[in-house]
Amino acid sequence: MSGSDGRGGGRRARHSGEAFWWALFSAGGVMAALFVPAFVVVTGFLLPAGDPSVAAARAEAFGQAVGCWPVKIALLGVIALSLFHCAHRIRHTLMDFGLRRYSGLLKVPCYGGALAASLWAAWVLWGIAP
Amino acid sequence: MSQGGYRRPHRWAWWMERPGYMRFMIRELTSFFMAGYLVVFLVTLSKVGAGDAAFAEWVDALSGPGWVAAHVVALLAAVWHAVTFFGAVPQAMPIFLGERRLSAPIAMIVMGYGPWLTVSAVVVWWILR
Repeated sequence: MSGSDGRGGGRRARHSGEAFWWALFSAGGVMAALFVPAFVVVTGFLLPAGDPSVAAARAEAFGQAVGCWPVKIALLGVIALSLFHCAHRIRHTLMDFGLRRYSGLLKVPCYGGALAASLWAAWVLWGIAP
Repeated sequence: MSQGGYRRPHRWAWWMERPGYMRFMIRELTSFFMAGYLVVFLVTLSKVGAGDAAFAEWVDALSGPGWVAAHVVALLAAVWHAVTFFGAVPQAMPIFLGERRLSAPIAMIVMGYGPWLTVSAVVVWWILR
């Protein structure tokens, strides 16, 4: 193959935003798989304990965990990456359902929504007293 | 059409044509439920920030049958996402020890089910301890 000497004379790698979204997508897939099932168990089944004193103790443990800085930073990473993972898949699913024409336009609600929710997460976590 | 040439006509219900496509679509739909759940999780965190009374009231609401049912659906979606994600790890990220490729079940345990179980156990233990 002539011209592929790496000095820009030959084939040039086409830069597109897709690679960036793809990296967020796979990291988010891992985070969602590792953490979201446990989060669902906590908010759905452990925090709403029938007994009030048990519920109070669990609420206290939850508040204590999400109030400390290392957990806040980790949570922000997990939540933001999971949101971008979902946004990417939601966009592609909508495209598969016949909205492929609007693939560019769909980026706005999907990635924009993930960004907005991530900023909200940062704001919420910032506001939790230790 | 002058641009793009032939495009195979694409029914919106193409995913109902084969069981494999259906499984793919069920997996894709888990992302909608997980995104919805993440919003619920963010509301929960915002209630922690809003004070003990607001948080207690929110937790009380979460014990209602509607929210419990929603959590059951969210759990199924999240677990299905995790299982299918870890199931794809051996193909997506083959691990080589020297010349030998790590076998699929071991790769799934090391790269998926092991860390998943550890994370889940730590989170649940922290709340129940």
